[in-house]
Amino acid sequence: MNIELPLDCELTAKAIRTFIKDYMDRIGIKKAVVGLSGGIDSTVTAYLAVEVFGKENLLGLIMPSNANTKLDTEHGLLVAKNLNIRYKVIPIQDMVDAFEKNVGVNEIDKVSRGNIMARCRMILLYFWANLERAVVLGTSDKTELLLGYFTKYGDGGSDIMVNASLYKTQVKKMGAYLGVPQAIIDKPPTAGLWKGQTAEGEIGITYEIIDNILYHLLELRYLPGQVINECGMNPSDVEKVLKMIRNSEHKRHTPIYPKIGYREINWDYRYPVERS
Amino acid sequence: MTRLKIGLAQIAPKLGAVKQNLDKHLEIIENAKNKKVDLLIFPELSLCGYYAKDMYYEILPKVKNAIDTICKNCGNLTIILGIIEENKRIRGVLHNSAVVIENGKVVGTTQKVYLPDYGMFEDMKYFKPGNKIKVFKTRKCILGIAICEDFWHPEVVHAIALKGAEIAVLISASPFMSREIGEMLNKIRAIENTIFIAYVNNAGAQEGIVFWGGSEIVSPNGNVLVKANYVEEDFKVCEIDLNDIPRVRAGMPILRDARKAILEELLKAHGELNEY
Repeated sequence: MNIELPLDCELTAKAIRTFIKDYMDRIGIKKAVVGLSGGIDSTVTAYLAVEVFGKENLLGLIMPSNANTKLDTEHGLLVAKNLNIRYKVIPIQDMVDAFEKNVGVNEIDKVSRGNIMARCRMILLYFWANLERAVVLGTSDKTELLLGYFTKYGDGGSDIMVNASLYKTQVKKMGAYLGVPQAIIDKPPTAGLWKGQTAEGEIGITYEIIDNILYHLLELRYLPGQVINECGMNPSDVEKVLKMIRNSEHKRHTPIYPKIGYREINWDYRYPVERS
Repeated sequence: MTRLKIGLAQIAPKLGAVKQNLDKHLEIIENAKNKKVDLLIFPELSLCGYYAKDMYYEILPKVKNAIDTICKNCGNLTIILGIIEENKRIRGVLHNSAVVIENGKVVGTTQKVYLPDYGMFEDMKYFKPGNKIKVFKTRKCILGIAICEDFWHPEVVHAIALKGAEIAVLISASPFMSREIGEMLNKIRAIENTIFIAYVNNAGAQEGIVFWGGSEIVSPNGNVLVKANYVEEDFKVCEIDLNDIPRVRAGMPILRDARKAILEELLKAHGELNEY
Protein backbone atom coordinates (compact mmCIF):
# COMPACT_ATOMS: atom_id res chain seq x y z
CA MET A 1 0.00 0.00 0.00
CA ASN A 2 3.06 2.26 -0.03
CA ILE A 3 2.99 5.19 -2.42
CA GLU A 4 5.98 6.98 -3.84
CA LEU A 5 6.10 10.47 -2.36
CA PRO A 6 5.69 12.99 -5.19
CA LEU A 7 8.60 15.31 -5.96
CA ASP A 8 9.34 17.55 -8.93
CA CYS A 9 13.12 17.37 -8.53
CA GLU A 10 14.01 20.04 -11.05
CA LEU A 11 11.66 22.71 -9.74
CA THR A 12 12.22 21.80 -6.09
CA ALA A 13 16.01 22.01 -6.53
CA LYS A 14 15.52 25.44 -8.10
CA ALA A 15 13.32 26.51 -5.18
CA ILE A 16 15.76 25.28 -2.54
CA ARG A 17 18.68 26.99 -4.26
CA THR A 18 16.70 30.20 -4.60
CA PHE A 19 15.95 30.04 -0.88
CA ILE A 20 19.65 29.67 -0.07
CA LYS A 21 20.73 32.37 -2.50
CA ASP A 22 18.16 34.96 -1.45
CA TYR A 23 18.83 34.38 2.22
CA MET A 24 22.59 34.67 1.79
CA ASP A 25 22.19 37.85 -0.28
CA ARG A 26 20.00 39.26 2.43
CA ILE A 27 22.42 38.58 5.30
CA GLY A 28 25.49 39.40 3.23
CA ILE A 29 27.46 36.21 3.80
CA LYS A 30 29.02 34.34 0.93
CA LYS A 31 30.42 31.17 2.48
CA ALA A 32 29.11 28.00 4.06
CA VAL A 33 30.45 25.06 6.05
CA VAL A 34 28.89 21.62 5.84
CA GLY A 35 29.72 18.40 7.64
CA LEU A 36 30.16 15.56 5.16
CA SER A 37 29.28 12.26 6.81
CA GLY A 38 29.23 10.35 3.56
CA GLY A 39 25.49 9.81 4.00
CA ILE A 40 22.70 10.84 1.66
CA ASP A 41 21.52 13.91 3.62
CA SER A 42 24.83 15.75 3.86
CA THR A 43 25.67 14.73 0.30
CA VAL A 44 22.45 16.15 -1.16
CA THR A 45 22.92 19.27 0.97
CA ALA A 46 26.37 19.80 -0.51
CA TYR A 47 25.21 19.04 -4.07
CA LEU A 48 22.40 21.59 -3.79
CA ALA A 49 24.50 24.22 -2.04
CA VAL A 50 27.60 24.12 -4.20
CA GLU A 51 25.78 25.68 -7.13
CA VAL A 52 24.79 28.66 -4.99
CA PHE A 53 28.01 29.25 -3.07
CA GLY A 54 30.49 28.14 -5.72
CA LYS A 55 33.07 25.48 -5.03
CA GLU A 56 35.56 27.89 -3.46
CA ASN A 57 33.01 29.16 -0.93
CA LEU A 58 31.77 25.81 0.37
CA LEU A 59 33.92 24.08 2.96
CA GLY A 60 33.29 20.41 3.71
CA LEU A 61 34.33 18.97 7.09
CA ILE A 62 34.79 15.23 7.35
CA MET A 63 34.79 14.40 11.06
CA PRO A 64 35.12 10.67 11.65
CA SER A 65 35.04 8.96 15.04
CA ASN A 66 35.74 5.33 15.92
CA ALA A 67 32.06 4.63 15.35
CA ASN A 68 32.34 5.43 11.66
CA THR A 69 33.38 2.99 8.99
CA LYS A 70 36.18 3.64 6.55
CA LEU A 71 33.54 3.71 3.84
CA ASP A 72 31.80 6.71 5.51
CA THR A 73 35.02 8.70 5.30
CA GLU A 74 35.66 7.55 1.74
CA HIS A 75 32.20 8.67 0.71
CA GLY A 76 32.72 12.04 2.40
CA LEU A 77 35.94 12.44 0.45
CA LEU A 78 34.25 11.31 -2.74
CA VAL A 79 31.61 14.03 -2.37
CA ALA A 80 34.25 16.71 -1.70
CA LYS A 81 36.25 15.58 -4.72
CA ASN A 82 33.24 15.21 -7.04
CA LEU A 83 32.16 18.74 -6.21
CA ASN A 84 35.74 20.00 -6.16
CA ILE A 85 35.11 21.89 -2.91
CA ARG A 86 37.62 22.67 -0.18
CA TYR A 87 37.56 20.08 2.60
CA LYS A 88 39.26 19.10 5.84
CA VAL A 89 39.41 15.78 7.60
CA ILE A 90 39.25 16.32 11.36
CA PRO A 91 39.02 13.11 13.41
CA ILE A 92 36.98 13.73 16.57
CA GLN A 93 37.73 10.65 18.67
CA ASP A 94 40.31 12.41 20.90
CA MET A 95 37.84 15.18 21.66
CA VAL A 96 35.08 12.69 22.43
CA ASP A 97 37.41 10.72 24.70
CA ALA A 98 38.45 13.89 26.52
CA PHE A 99 34.82 14.78 27.15
CA GLU A 100 34.02 11.28 28.27
CA LYS A 101 36.91 11.29 30.75
CA ASN A 102 35.77 14.58 32.29
CA VAL A 103 31.98 14.43 32.41
CA GLY A 104 31.95 12.99 35.91
CA VAL A 105 30.64 9.46 35.41
CA ASN A 106 32.56 6.24 35.04
CA GLU A 107 30.36 4.46 32.53
CA ILE A 108 28.76 6.33 29.69
CA ASP A 109 25.93 4.84 27.61
CA LYS A 110 26.15 4.77 23.82
CA VAL A 111 23.40 7.32 23.22
CA SER A 112 25.05 9.89 25.51
CA ARG A 113 28.39 9.20 23.87
CA GLY A 114 26.79 9.54 20.45
CA ASN A 115 25.36 12.90 21.44
CA ILE A 116 28.83 14.06 22.53
CA MET A 117 30.07 13.10 19.06
CA ALA A 118 27.31 15.02 17.32
CA ARG A 119 27.97 18.05 19.51
CA CYS A 120 31.73 17.88 18.92
CA ARG A 121 30.99 18.09 15.21
CA MET A 122 28.73 21.08 15.81
CA ILE A 123 31.55 22.86 17.69
CA LEU A 124 33.96 22.23 14.83
CA LEU A 125 31.45 23.40 12.21
CA TYR A 126 30.87 26.62 14.14
CA PHE A 127 34.60 27.08 14.71
CA TRP A 128 35.19 27.04 10.97
CA ALA A 129 32.09 29.13 10.31
CA ASN A 130 33.42 31.81 12.69
CA LEU A 131 36.84 31.67 11.16
CA GLU A 132 35.61 31.91 7.59
CA ARG A 133 32.60 34.18 8.19
CA ALA A 134 30.37 31.44 6.94
CA VAL A 135 27.02 29.87 7.79
CA VAL A 136 26.63 26.29 8.98
CA LEU A 137 24.41 24.24 6.71
CA GLY A 138 22.03 21.89 8.51
CA THR A 139 21.55 18.60 6.72
CA SER A 140 18.56 17.02 8.50
CA ASP A 141 15.68 15.84 6.37
CA LYS A 142 12.00 16.15 7.24
CA THR A 143 11.69 12.52 8.31
CA GLU A 144 14.51 12.85 10.85
CA LEU A 145 13.23 16.19 12.07
CA LEU A 146 9.74 14.81 12.65
CA LEU A 147 10.95 11.67 14.38
CA GLY A 148 13.42 13.65 16.46
CA TYR A 149 16.13 11.43 15.03
CA PHE A 150 18.87 13.97 15.57
CA THR A 151 20.91 15.40 18.43
CA LYS A 152 19.62 18.64 19.92
CA TYR A 153 22.35 21.25 19.39
CA GLY A 154 24.40 18.56 17.66
CA ASP A 155 23.48 17.87 14.06
CA GLY A 156 20.34 19.83 14.98
CA GLY A 157 22.50 22.95 15.39
CA SER A 158 22.85 25.00 12.22
CA ASP A 159 22.06 28.31 10.58
CA ILE A 160 20.04 27.20 7.60
CA MET A 161 18.60 23.80 6.75
CA VAL A 162 18.66 22.69 3.16
CA ASN A 163 16.75 19.38 3.16
CA ALA A 164 14.23 20.12 5.89
CA SER A 165 11.25 20.10 3.55
CA LEU A 166 12.14 16.76 1.95
CA TYR A 167 11.29 13.37 3.43
CA LYS A 168 14.09 10.81 3.44
CA THR A 169 12.82 8.94 0.36
CA GLN A 170 12.53 12.29 -1.45
CA VAL A 171 16.12 13.16 -0.49
CA LYS A 172 17.19 9.93 -2.15
CA LYS A 173 15.18 10.81 -5.24
CA MET A 174 16.74 14.28 -5.26
CA GLY A 175 20.16 12.67 -4.87
CA ALA A 176 19.58 10.55 -7.97
CA TYR A 177 18.45 13.65 -9.88
CA LEU A 178 21.56 15.56 -8.81
CA GLY A 179 23.91 12.77 -9.83
CA VAL A 180 24.94 11.62 -6.36
CA PRO A 181 27.01 8.38 -6.57
CA GLN A 182 24.68 5.37 -6.43
CA ALA A 183 26.63 3.76 -3.56
CA ILE A 184 25.75 6.73 -1.34
CA ILE A 185 22.08 6.59 -2.34
CA ASP A 186 21.83 2.85 -1.80
CA LYS A 187 23.56 2.39 1.53
CA PRO A 188 21.34 2.24 4.64
CA PRO A 189 21.09 5.61 6.42
CA THR A 190 22.85 5.84 9.80
CA ALA A 191 23.41 8.47 12.44
CA GLY A 192 26.90 6.97 12.76
CA LEU A 193 26.94 7.33 16.53
CA TRP A 194 27.94 3.75 17.33
CA LYS A 195 29.27 0.83 15.36
CA GLY A 196 26.70 -1.00 13.26
CA GLN A 197 23.97 1.56 13.94
CA THR A 198 21.42 1.95 11.17
CA ALA A 199 18.44 4.24 11.40
CA GLU A 200 15.99 1.65 10.14
CA GLY A 201 17.44 -1.01 12.42
CA GLU A 202 17.16 1.25 15.43
CA ILE A 203 13.65 2.47 14.69
CA GLY A 204 12.57 -0.95 13.47
CA ILE A 205 10.64 0.33 10.43
CA THR A 206 11.84 0.96 6.89
CA TYR A 207 12.08 4.53 5.67
CA GLU A 208 9.62 3.73 2.91
CA ILE A 209 6.99 2.86 5.51
CA ILE A 210 7.94 5.69 7.88
CA ASP A 211 7.65 8.22 5.07
CA ASN A 212 4.30 6.84 4.01
CA ILE A 213 2.96 7.08 7.54
CA LEU A 214 4.34 10.63 7.95
CA TYR A 215 3.13 11.74 4.54
CA HIS A 216 -0.42 10.54 5.19
CA LEU A 217 -0.53 11.95 8.72
CA LEU A 218 1.01 15.32 7.89
CA GLU A 219 0.55 16.24 4.28
CA LEU A 220 -2.75 14.47 3.62
CA ARG A 221 -4.06 14.98 7.17
CA TYR A 222 -5.17 11.37 7.67
CA LEU A 223 -6.06 10.45 11.23
CA PRO A 224 -3.95 7.62 12.71
CA GLY A 225 -6.86 5.17 12.43
CA GLN A 226 -7.24 6.06 8.76
CA VAL A 227 -3.53 5.45 8.14
CA ILE A 228 -4.02 1.98 9.61
CA ASN A 229 -7.36 1.09 8.02
CA GLU A 230 -7.17 2.88 4.68
CA CYS A 231 -3.43 2.63 3.95
CA GLY A 232 -3.02 -0.80 5.50
CA MET A 233 -0.23 0.27 7.81
CA ASN A 234 0.77 -1.81 10.79
CA PRO A 235 -0.86 -0.33 13.95
CA SER A 236 2.30 -0.71 16.00
CA ASP A 237 4.34 1.10 13.33
CA VAL A 238 1.88 4.00 13.28
CA GLU A 239 1.86 4.15 17.08
CA LYS A 240 5.66 4.13 17.18
CA VAL A 241 5.97 6.93 14.64
CA LEU A 242 3.34 9.01 16.47
CA LYS A 243 5.14 8.50 19.76
CA MET A 244 8.46 9.57 18.27
CA ILE A 245 6.86 12.72 16.83
CA ARG A 246 5.20 13.65 20.12
CA ASN A 247 8.21 12.93 22.30
CA SER A 248 10.52 15.02 20.15
CA GLU A 249 8.33 18.11 19.86
CA HIS A 250 10.75 20.03 22.13
CA LYS A 251 13.57 19.45 19.65
CA ARG A 252 11.76 21.41 16.97
CA HIS A 253 11.23 24.52 19.06
CA THR A 254 13.37 27.23 20.55
CA PRO A 255 13.45 26.86 24.35
CA ILE A 256 10.17 27.63 26.06
CA TYR A 257 10.00 30.42 28.65
CA PRO A 258 7.35 32.17 30.75
CA LYS A 259 5.36 34.90 29.06
CA ILE A 260 5.32 37.69 31.61
CA GLY A 261 5.46 40.98 29.75
CA TYR A 262 3.31 42.52 27.06
CA ARG A 263 5.94 42.06 24.40
CA GLU A 264 7.92 38.85 24.73
CA ILE A 265 10.26 37.52 22.10
CA ASN A 266 8.49 35.46 19.42
CA TRP A 267 5.13 35.95 21.14
CA ASP A 268 4.35 39.60 20.56
CA TYR A 269 7.77 40.73 19.42
CA ARG A 270 7.69 39.20 15.99
CA TYR A 271 10.34 40.03 13.44
CA PRO A 272 11.47 38.19 10.36
CA VAL A 273 14.96 36.76 10.52
CA GLU A 274 15.61 38.76 7.34
CA ARG A 275 15.31 41.99 9.22
CA SER A 276 18.36 44.13 8.50
CA MET B 1 -7.69 51.59 -29.36
CA THR B 2 -8.49 48.09 -28.33
CA ARG B 3 -4.96 46.77 -28.09
CA LEU B 4 -2.69 47.32 -25.14
CA LYS B 5 0.67 46.13 -23.96
CA ILE B 6 0.88 44.67 -20.48
CA GLY B 7 4.15 44.29 -18.58
CA LEU B 8 4.38 41.62 -15.88
CA ALA B 9 7.10 42.67 -13.44
CA GLN B 10 7.78 39.46 -11.56
CA ILE B 11 10.27 40.70 -8.99
CA ALA B 12 11.77 39.24 -5.81
CA PRO B 13 11.41 42.05 -3.27
CA LYS B 14 13.80 42.11 -0.32
CA LEU B 15 11.93 41.98 2.96
CA GLY B 16 11.73 45.44 4.51
CA ALA B 17 14.32 46.94 2.12
CA VAL B 18 12.03 49.56 0.61
CA LYS B 19 14.82 51.64 -0.95
CA GLN B 20 16.31 48.64 -2.71
CA ASN B 21 12.88 47.51 -3.88
CA LEU B 22 12.03 51.01 -5.08
CA ASP B 23 15.21 51.08 -7.18
CA LYS B 24 14.15 47.84 -8.80
CA HIS B 25 10.69 49.25 -9.53
CA LEU B 26 12.22 52.35 -11.15
CA GLU B 27 14.57 50.25 -13.26
CA ILE B 28 11.68 48.15 -14.57
CA ILE B 29 9.54 51.26 -15.12
CA GLU B 30 12.25 52.66 -17.42
CA ASN B 31 12.51 49.32 -19.19
CA ALA B 32 8.73 49.25 -19.64
CA LYS B 33 8.70 52.76 -21.07
CA ASN B 34 11.25 51.69 -23.68
CA LYS B 35 9.08 48.73 -24.58
CA LYS B 36 6.02 50.98 -24.96
CA VAL B 37 4.14 49.15 -22.22
CA ASP B 38 0.71 50.60 -21.35
CA LEU B 39 -0.07 48.75 -18.13
CA LEU B 40 2.75 47.66 -15.81
CA ILE B 41 1.98 45.34 -12.91
CA PHE B 42 4.10 44.50 -9.87
CA PRO B 43 3.21 41.75 -7.36
CA GLU B 44 1.60 41.85 -3.91
CA LEU B 45 3.50 43.98 -1.35
CA SER B 46 6.14 44.63 -3.99
CA LEU B 47 7.65 47.63 -2.20
CA CYS B 48 8.18 46.08 1.21
CA GLY B 49 8.05 42.29 0.86
CA TYR B 50 5.38 39.91 2.09
CA TYR B 51 6.39 38.43 5.43
CA ALA B 52 7.53 41.57 7.26
CA LYS B 53 5.55 40.91 10.48
CA ASP B 54 6.15 43.73 13.05
CA MET B 55 8.29 45.57 10.49
CA TYR B 56 5.10 46.56 8.62
CA TYR B 57 4.45 49.34 11.11
CA GLU B 58 7.99 50.67 10.84
CA ILE B 59 8.23 50.69 7.06
CA LEU B 60 4.88 52.35 6.37
CA PRO B 61 6.39 55.87 6.00
CA LYS B 62 9.05 54.57 3.61
CA VAL B 63 6.37 52.93 1.48
CA LYS B 64 4.42 56.21 1.31
CA ASN B 65 7.53 58.04 0.10
CA ALA B 66 8.33 55.35 -2.43
CA ILE B 67 4.83 55.67 -3.93
CA ASP B 68 5.45 59.42 -4.42
CA THR B 69 8.69 58.64 -6.26
CA ILE B 70 6.96 56.13 -8.51
CA CYS B 71 4.22 58.69 -9.30
CA LYS B 72 6.90 61.16 -10.42
CA ASN B 73 8.47 58.56 -12.68
CA CYS B 74 5.41 56.87 -14.18
CA GLY B 75 5.49 58.66 -17.55
CA ASN B 76 2.67 57.40 -19.79
CA LEU B 77 2.38 54.14 -17.92
CA THR B 78 -0.48 52.89 -15.82
CA ILE B 79 1.24 51.17 -12.91
CA ILE B 80 -0.20 48.78 -10.35
CA LEU B 81 1.80 47.65 -7.35
CA GLY B 82 1.28 46.06 -3.96
CA ILE B 83 1.59 48.27 -0.88
CA ILE B 84 0.84 48.51 2.80
CA GLU B 85 -1.67 51.31 3.20
CA GLU B 86 -2.86 53.19 6.25
CA ASN B 87 -6.61 53.42 6.57
CA LYS B 88 -7.82 56.80 5.29
CA ARG B 89 -9.80 57.58 8.45
CA ILE B 90 -8.20 55.60 11.23
CA ARG B 91 -4.50 56.09 11.89
CA GLY B 92 -2.43 53.02 12.70
CA VAL B 93 -4.80 50.65 10.91
CA LEU B 94 -3.13 48.92 7.97
CA HIS B 95 -4.43 47.35 4.78
CA ASN B 96 -2.74 45.03 2.33
CA SER B 97 -3.54 47.02 -0.80
CA ALA B 98 -2.87 47.62 -4.45
CA VAL B 99 -2.36 51.12 -5.78
CA VAL B 100 -3.14 52.34 -9.31
CA ILE B 101 -0.88 55.09 -10.56
CA GLU B 102 -1.12 57.11 -13.78
CA ASN B 103 -0.51 60.65 -14.98
CA GLY B 104 1.87 61.24 -12.07
CA LYS B 105 -0.63 60.49 -9.33
CA VAL B 106 -2.44 57.83 -7.38
CA VAL B 107 -5.82 57.31 -9.01
CA GLY B 108 -7.00 54.79 -6.46
CA THR B 109 -6.28 51.92 -4.14
CA THR B 110 -8.05 48.68 -3.48
CA GLN B 111 -7.78 46.61 -0.31
CA LYS B 112 -7.37 42.86 -0.04
CA VAL B 113 -10.77 41.53 1.02
CA TYR B 114 -9.78 37.99 2.01
CA LEU B 115 -6.93 38.04 4.48
CA PRO B 116 -5.68 34.47 4.95
CA ASP B 117 -5.31 33.49 8.57
CA TYR B 118 -4.53 29.80 8.45
CA GLY B 119 -1.45 27.60 8.16
CA MET B 120 1.55 29.80 7.45
CA PHE B 121 -0.50 32.91 6.67
CA GLU B 122 -0.82 35.80 9.13
CA ASP B 123 -2.41 38.58 7.08
CA MET B 124 -5.25 38.99 9.55
CA LYS B 125 -2.76 39.56 12.34
CA TYR B 126 -1.57 42.78 10.72
CA PHE B 127 -4.21 44.03 8.26
CA LYS B 128 -7.82 45.06 8.15
CA PRO B 129 -9.77 43.52 5.29
CA GLY B 130 -11.31 45.72 2.61
CA ASN B 131 -15.03 45.42 1.89
CA LYS B 132 -15.26 46.88 -1.59
CA ILE B 133 -14.77 45.48 -5.03
CA LYS B 134 -13.66 48.38 -7.19
CA VAL B 135 -12.98 48.81 -10.87
CA PHE B 136 -10.75 51.50 -12.31
CA LYS B 137 -11.20 53.18 -15.66
CA THR B 138 -7.59 53.64 -16.66
CA ARG B 139 -6.11 55.19 -19.80
CA LYS B 140 -6.29 52.05 -21.89
CA CYS B 141 -8.71 49.68 -20.16
CA ILE B 142 -11.12 49.06 -17.34
CA LEU B 143 -9.66 46.84 -14.67
CA GLY B 144 -10.29 45.43 -11.25
CA ILE B 145 -7.71 44.10 -8.81
CA ALA B 146 -7.73 41.01 -6.64
CA ILE B 147 -4.93 40.29 -4.20
CA CYS B 148 -3.75 36.70 -3.73
CA GLU B 149 -6.30 34.98 -1.46
CA ASP B 150 -9.00 37.10 -3.13
CA PHE B 151 -8.96 34.99 -6.24
CA TRP B 152 -9.37 31.72 -4.37
CA HIS B 153 -12.89 33.05 -3.74
CA PRO B 154 -14.83 33.10 -7.00
CA GLU B 155 -17.11 36.00 -6.09
CA VAL B 156 -14.27 38.56 -6.16
CA VAL B 157 -13.34 38.21 -9.81
CA HIS B 158 -17.02 37.63 -10.63
CA ALA B 159 -17.89 40.99 -9.08
CA ILE B 160 -14.98 42.61 -10.91
CA ALA B 161 -16.33 41.23 -14.19
CA LEU B 162 -19.95 42.20 -13.47
CA LYS B 163 -18.79 45.72 -12.68
CA GLY B 164 -17.55 45.96 -16.23
CA ALA B 165 -13.82 45.30 -16.01
CA GLU B 166 -12.03 43.99 -19.05
CA ILE B 167 -9.00 42.80 -17.15
CA ALA B 168 -8.84 41.24 -13.69
CA VAL B 169 -5.39 42.05 -12.37
CA LEU B 170 -4.32 39.42 -9.86
CA ILE B 171 -1.28 40.16 -7.74
CA SER B 172 0.07 37.66 -5.28
CA ALA B 173 2.76 36.40 -2.96
CA SER B 174 1.87 32.80 -3.64
CA PRO B 175 4.11 30.20 -2.02
CA PHE B 176 5.66 27.25 -3.81
CA MET B 177 3.12 24.61 -2.78
CA SER B 178 0.22 26.57 -4.33
CA ARG B 179 1.56 26.59 -7.88
CA GLU B 180 -0.59 23.89 -9.45
CA ILE B 181 -3.83 25.14 -7.93
CA GLY B 182 -2.90 28.76 -8.65
CA GLU B 183 -2.42 28.02 -12.32
CA MET B 184 -5.74 26.20 -12.46
CA LEU B 185 -7.50 29.09 -10.72
CA ASN B 186 -6.16 31.63 -13.20
CA LYS B 187 -7.67 29.66 -16.06
CA ILE B 188 -10.91 29.01 -14.22
CA ARG B 189 -11.38 32.67 -13.23
CA ALA B 190 -10.74 33.72 -16.84
CA ILE B 191 -13.26 31.27 -18.27
CA GLU B 192 -16.03 31.60 -15.67
CA ASN B 193 -15.98 35.38 -16.19
CA THR B 194 -14.80 35.55 -19.82
CA ILE B 195 -12.29 38.16 -18.76
CA PHE B 196 -8.57 38.70 -19.25
CA ILE B 197 -6.50 37.65 -16.25
CA ALA B 198 -3.19 39.44 -15.76
CA TYR B 199 -1.47 37.53 -12.97
CA VAL B 200 1.75 38.70 -11.33
CA ASN B 201 3.32 36.69 -8.54
CA ASN B 202 6.36 37.34 -6.39
CA ALA B 203 9.58 35.49 -7.21
CA GLY B 204 12.51 34.54 -4.99
CA ALA B 205 12.37 33.68 -1.31
CA GLN B 206 11.59 35.61 1.87
CA GLU B 207 11.96 33.99 5.29
CA GLY B 208 12.32 30.64 3.57
CA ILE B 209 9.01 31.09 1.74
CA VAL B 210 9.74 30.45 -1.92
CA PHE B 211 7.37 32.18 -4.33
CA TRP B 212 6.72 30.26 -7.50
CA GLY B 213 6.59 33.15 -9.96
CA GLY B 214 4.93 31.83 -13.10
CA SER B 215 3.18 35.15 -13.82
CA GLU B 216 0.91 34.96 -16.84
CA ILE B 217 -1.81 36.48 -18.93
CA VAL B 218 -4.82 34.28 -19.58
CA SER B 219 -7.29 35.13 -22.34
CA PRO B 220 -11.07 35.22 -21.70
CA ASN B 221 -11.34 31.69 -23.08
CA GLY B 222 -8.58 30.29 -20.89
CA ASN B 223 -5.50 30.35 -23.11
CA VAL B 224 -2.18 31.29 -21.57
CA LEU B 225 -0.85 34.12 -23.76
CA VAL B 226 2.43 34.72 -21.96
CA LYS B 227 4.20 32.93 -19.14
CA ALA B 228 7.04 34.06 -16.89
CA ASN B 229 9.64 31.68 -15.49
CA TYR B 230 9.06 29.82 -12.27
CA VAL B 231 10.69 30.99 -9.01
CA GLU B 232 13.18 33.48 -10.51
CA GLU B 233 12.70 37.13 -11.41
CA ASP B 234 11.35 37.76 -14.88
CA PHE B 235 9.82 40.55 -16.94
CA LYS B 236 7.37 39.69 -19.67
CA VAL B 237 5.52 41.97 -22.05
CA CYS B 238 2.45 40.87 -23.97
CA GLU B 239 0.04 42.71 -26.22
CA ILE B 240 -3.62 41.84 -25.85
CA ASP B 241 -6.69 42.77 -27.89
CA LEU B 242 -9.67 43.83 -25.80
CA ASN B 243 -11.95 42.96 -28.74
CA ASP B 244 -11.33 39.35 -27.81
CA ILE B 245 -13.76 39.93 -24.93
CA PRO B 246 -16.96 40.46 -26.98
CA ARG B 247 -15.80 37.78 -29.41
CA VAL B 248 -15.48 35.21 -26.61
CA ARG B 249 -18.63 36.38 -24.85
CA ALA B 250 -20.66 35.94 -28.06
CA GLY B 251 -19.85 32.25 -27.89
CA MET B 252 -19.77 31.87 -24.11
CA PRO B 253 -22.42 34.24 -22.71
CA ILE B 254 -21.64 33.42 -19.10
CA LEU B 255 -21.91 36.98 -17.79
CA ARG B 256 -25.10 37.60 -19.78
CA ASP B 257 -26.63 34.56 -18.11
CA ALA B 258 -25.47 35.38 -14.56
CA ARG B 259 -28.65 35.49 -12.48
CA LYS B 260 -29.40 37.66 -9.52
CA ALA B 261 -31.89 35.13 -8.20
CA ILE B 262 -29.14 32.54 -8.01
CA LEU B 263 -26.71 34.96 -6.37
CA GLU B 264 -29.44 35.70 -3.85
CA GLU B 265 -29.54 31.99 -3.11
CA LEU B 266 -25.84 32.32 -2.36
CA LEU B 267 -26.49 35.21 0.00
CA LYS B 268 -29.24 33.24 1.70
CA ALA B 269 -26.86 30.32 2.21
CA HIS B 270 -24.34 32.71 3.71
CA GLY B 271 -26.96 33.98 6.11
CA GLU B 272 -27.70 30.43 7.20
CA LEU B 273 -23.98 29.77 7.62
CA ASN B 274 -23.66 32.80 9.88
CA GLU B 275 -26.70 31.82 11.94
CA TYR B 276 -25.24 28.41 12.71
